[in-house]
Amino acid sequence: MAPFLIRAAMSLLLPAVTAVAACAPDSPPPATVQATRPTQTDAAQVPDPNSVATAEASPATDSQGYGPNDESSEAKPRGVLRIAQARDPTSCDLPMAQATSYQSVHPCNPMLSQIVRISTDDHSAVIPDLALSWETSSDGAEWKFTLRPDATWHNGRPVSADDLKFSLDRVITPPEGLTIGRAGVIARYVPSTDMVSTPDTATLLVQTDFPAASFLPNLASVYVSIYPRAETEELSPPSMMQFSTVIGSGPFTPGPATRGAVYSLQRNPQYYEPGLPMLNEVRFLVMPHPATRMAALQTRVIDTIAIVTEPEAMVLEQDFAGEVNVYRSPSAGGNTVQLNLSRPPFNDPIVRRAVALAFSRADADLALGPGYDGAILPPGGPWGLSEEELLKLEGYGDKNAERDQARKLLAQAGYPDGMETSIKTQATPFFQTLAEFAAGQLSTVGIRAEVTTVEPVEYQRIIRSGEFEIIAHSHSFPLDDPDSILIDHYSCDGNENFPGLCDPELDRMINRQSRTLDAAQRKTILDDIQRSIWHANAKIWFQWSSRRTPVLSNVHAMEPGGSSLYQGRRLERVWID
Amino acid sequence: MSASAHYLIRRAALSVLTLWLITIIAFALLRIAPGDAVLAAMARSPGEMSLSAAAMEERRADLGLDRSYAAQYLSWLGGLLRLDPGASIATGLPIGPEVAPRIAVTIQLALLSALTAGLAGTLAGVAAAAWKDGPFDAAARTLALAALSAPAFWLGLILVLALAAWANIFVAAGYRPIWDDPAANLTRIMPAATVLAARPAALVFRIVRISTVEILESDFIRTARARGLTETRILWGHAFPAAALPGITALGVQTVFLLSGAVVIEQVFGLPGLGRSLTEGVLTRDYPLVQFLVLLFGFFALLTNFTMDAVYTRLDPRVRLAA
Amino acid sequence: MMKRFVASGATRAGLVIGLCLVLMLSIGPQMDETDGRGDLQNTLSGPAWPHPLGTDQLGRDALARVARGLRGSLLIGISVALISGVVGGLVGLASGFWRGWPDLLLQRLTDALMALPLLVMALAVIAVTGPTRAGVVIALSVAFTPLVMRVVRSSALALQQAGHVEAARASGATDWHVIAAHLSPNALAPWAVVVSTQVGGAALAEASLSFLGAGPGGDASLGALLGGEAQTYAFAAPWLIVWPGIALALVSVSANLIGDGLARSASPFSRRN
Repeated sequence: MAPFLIRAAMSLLLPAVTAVAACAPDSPPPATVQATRPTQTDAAQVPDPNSVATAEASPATDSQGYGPNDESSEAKPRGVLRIAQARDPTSCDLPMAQATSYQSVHPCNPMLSQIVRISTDDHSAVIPDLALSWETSSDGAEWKFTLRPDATWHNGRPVSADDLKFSLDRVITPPEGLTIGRAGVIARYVPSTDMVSTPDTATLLVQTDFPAASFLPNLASVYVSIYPRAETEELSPPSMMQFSTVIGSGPFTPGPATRGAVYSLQRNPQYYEPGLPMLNEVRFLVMPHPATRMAALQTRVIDTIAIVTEPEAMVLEQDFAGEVNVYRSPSAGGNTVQLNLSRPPFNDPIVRRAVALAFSRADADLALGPGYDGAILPPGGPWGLSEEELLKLEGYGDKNAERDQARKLLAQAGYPDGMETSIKTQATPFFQTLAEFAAGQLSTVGIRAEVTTVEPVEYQRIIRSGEFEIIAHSHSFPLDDPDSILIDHYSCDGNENFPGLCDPELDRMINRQSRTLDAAQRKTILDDIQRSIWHANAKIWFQWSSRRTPVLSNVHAMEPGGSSLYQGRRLERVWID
Repeated sequence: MSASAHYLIRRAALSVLTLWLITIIAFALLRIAPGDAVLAAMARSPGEMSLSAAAMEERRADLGLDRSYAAQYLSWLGGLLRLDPGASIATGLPIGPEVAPRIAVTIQLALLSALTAGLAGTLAGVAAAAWKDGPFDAAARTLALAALSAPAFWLGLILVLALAAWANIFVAAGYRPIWDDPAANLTRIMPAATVLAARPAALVFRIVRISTVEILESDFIRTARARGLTETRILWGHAFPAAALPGITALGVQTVFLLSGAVVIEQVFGLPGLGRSLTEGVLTRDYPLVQFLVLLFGFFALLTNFTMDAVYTRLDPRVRLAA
Repeated sequence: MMKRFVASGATRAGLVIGLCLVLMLSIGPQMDETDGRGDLQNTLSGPAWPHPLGTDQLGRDALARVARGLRGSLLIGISVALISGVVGGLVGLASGFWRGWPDLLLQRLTDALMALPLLVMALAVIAVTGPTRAGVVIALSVAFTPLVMRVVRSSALALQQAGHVEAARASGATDWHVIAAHLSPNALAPWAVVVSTQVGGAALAEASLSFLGAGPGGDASLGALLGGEAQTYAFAAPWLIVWPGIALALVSVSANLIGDGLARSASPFSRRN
């Protein structure tokens, strides 16, 4: 606790001291917190994102009937887990747009179940949930899910196949007054509710429009959570599903909640996985200020925070070693600058190339905290480019040489003395740092960029209407899945294709990989897609972020099991000693 | 009808007129801002939520945002007259139940701060006047100046961080309603109320101090001294009651400030009050919620002003001339 | 009056602090040798020579940034005080002098505006103008004008009943003459007190706006420094929030002391502050 005071006191006293002792400049700088880049090899070996998690969890526990943790002899299956987050959950209707944010997903997920789900320990694995098993037809366009017999809703009613059909139907055709969110990708594979049927109460049949490689992972996404038909239909349409009104079939039931302060989840003794959950209660505390969340963790008022900044993570590691563990994992998201392709100067691919060459990944690690090397799909997962392939990309070469080349390219494009441009970003702290960092990088090749911050709501308008030259923007993907990333971000009419990249050949390739069931073959197409998008230099990924999750050391099984901030947060196996 | 009653009725009528003006301002405030609730929902979780243009249009129609401003205003006003402020856009919940528990938090915070400020300011003011130009006076005046000058959220932040680091105490979480657990409630709200009280306390202190100094030098006190009263008796029996009134006046003027300050302090201390709802509402362009909250804040401010007027009219009928 | 103003020790302290701040404005930016781009090898380092206040997340000199932020805060404070002072002063004077229905209407509008929490109103105005320095100035001017208007109006009201004004009236002076020769000079003192303290008030309000996410970005003001990313490093780099906070408090201290000095030297209104 004292180190903070020492730092604070030094920050007050030192200016006076140094002003006097200005002539003794070689005294060591006190209390220096300096971000260090993980060694190249760390970043290179990222492909296993679950270094901690997979090492401990045996593959056998992954399939079904989770036994208690492998350290079960020491596990004391009781206790209260306290988690701080900045905002209230908006809604627990996870398929719908209003509940997209992780601040809604995290508190609601432990109350809900899915047909199949993403493994907590490995986000690239799909494991059984309400469906114990599934099979596909030989053409891969028909799916038969067999339900477990023992699952019940929190009110005691058994979960039937009809509830599953109801939940899928409302993802395909959302009810009046609600707007579909990230679950909407399902409708791409299953465009009509007629394609979902229930021959009996324990079987769900789903036909897909085409043999879709991404259907199962997207079905397993937390955004396709399952709700009971009768009880959900009773909710009056405009009213969204609130935390306290959730009836799910997950390991926890809604407990007392005070908006703006605390959301409590109580152990569901009827949960279908025997012996789970390990905790008696999970409490989500709403703390709007980042510094107070840190103070709460240090005083052990809370057990964990979903994300902290790199400098704070380092403080925790240095000053609270042994008390707090900080888990670092690649995050399916990161930092970009995006160039407007529809007007000069960035309609010129040569100028775009110069911009891309200006960015140094090492600089980004220094300024924004260490991240991971990657291309277009998240590093560390099944689809990201290998280290060997990455190094062949432009931008991963010798930085000085690349920047020289960038200046030459600019001259070639008609800007021998560099150029003026503007970077717009939204007026929130992190985005602004991104933009200022980007401006600094561009200045190394003679591009003088003025940073303009825009009110966040106005910013949403301008990025969609293309009223910018460059934006500095950060993305966070729901799932490390090619379809859910590529279609939105890089197809001609993608929701988040802010630069306006439109290449019919690319769209055809995206379509093709979507229908390629063989994983190896699909990966080959995806590698080509990634190289193609990378060299279009429209959305320039200069850093894939690292997620830093601090957890008190007496809390177990909280390690992030993969790159998604959203998946695998059911908390059923977390225990406290 | 007495003149003062007549005056109060006129004041009440004017307050209703003012309240109506506030409904117009409240309605217009967010509508003149660019973007709308649909874009704002995406702005709230940038990089997370994204809708297609068609989905955005559909959502606007669902929310009735495609109607004319006049139609939207009239339907809101009609709802208010039927005591139905509508539903929040962000949560879809009716605004009444959403706001009701928050009123208690903010009112409690404001009242506790006012009480703290009044008490601390008055006592310190009288004491400083009694020992005018002494060390206590100098210290209190310096402290008051500092309290007037430091931003409240910054003071709060430093307090939370320093307490956590130094005493391992965390004071910014786990609000409990006072009827649930009074002790827990007070330990959560008092730190915030104290920080919020710093500025009004300093203002009350200055006014009470200068009034007491003037009174202590007045003929009336000289007479009291001549009658042989003790200094303590003079100070607390004569000077203090006379100096307290301007102090209370200053406090009354600060009430609106307290409500405004609560917006920021609730954010730092994580209290689930009206202010946080309001900030969140402005950022998400939650029109119905913000309109109602602005109206509510306006109502509280007018109520305070009106009550103070009423009290003065009782105390001193001449006040109405100045008004 | 000038003599009494400068004579007080507190006022002198206020002036000295103000001068020091201005001095810092001119020296501070010299500390930055990287043209505002920062030195990425030296991010978030604690206070040590050659960065007496440390560096920020992009390795930029914190002293230079505090100085630039200070310049922004002073600009905002002074602009808001002047705009709200001039507009509020003129409208308040007219409204208090001529009375009638425009006065009644203005009073209701002032009531309504003053009943709204300042920050909420400013948040909404900034949504329109965008989070720039100019936007903040407009927002805070709108929010601060009613107070000036009310103070000036009430002194104009009180003065009308004063002996010398009634005498001037009786001797046939025009409205304009009464306003120019009698009301304005006497309403000037309370006006100056309110306006001078508003420099600090506006700088503080701007910081609150930034804290709520509606201020200008970067180092455009001290509030921008306090409300920016530094908050998420409060434990790792406390110097990034401690120093801008102190600088902001000093702006306000200086404005308050000068305002107090004005109040004392303009005696009959000494209690208004």
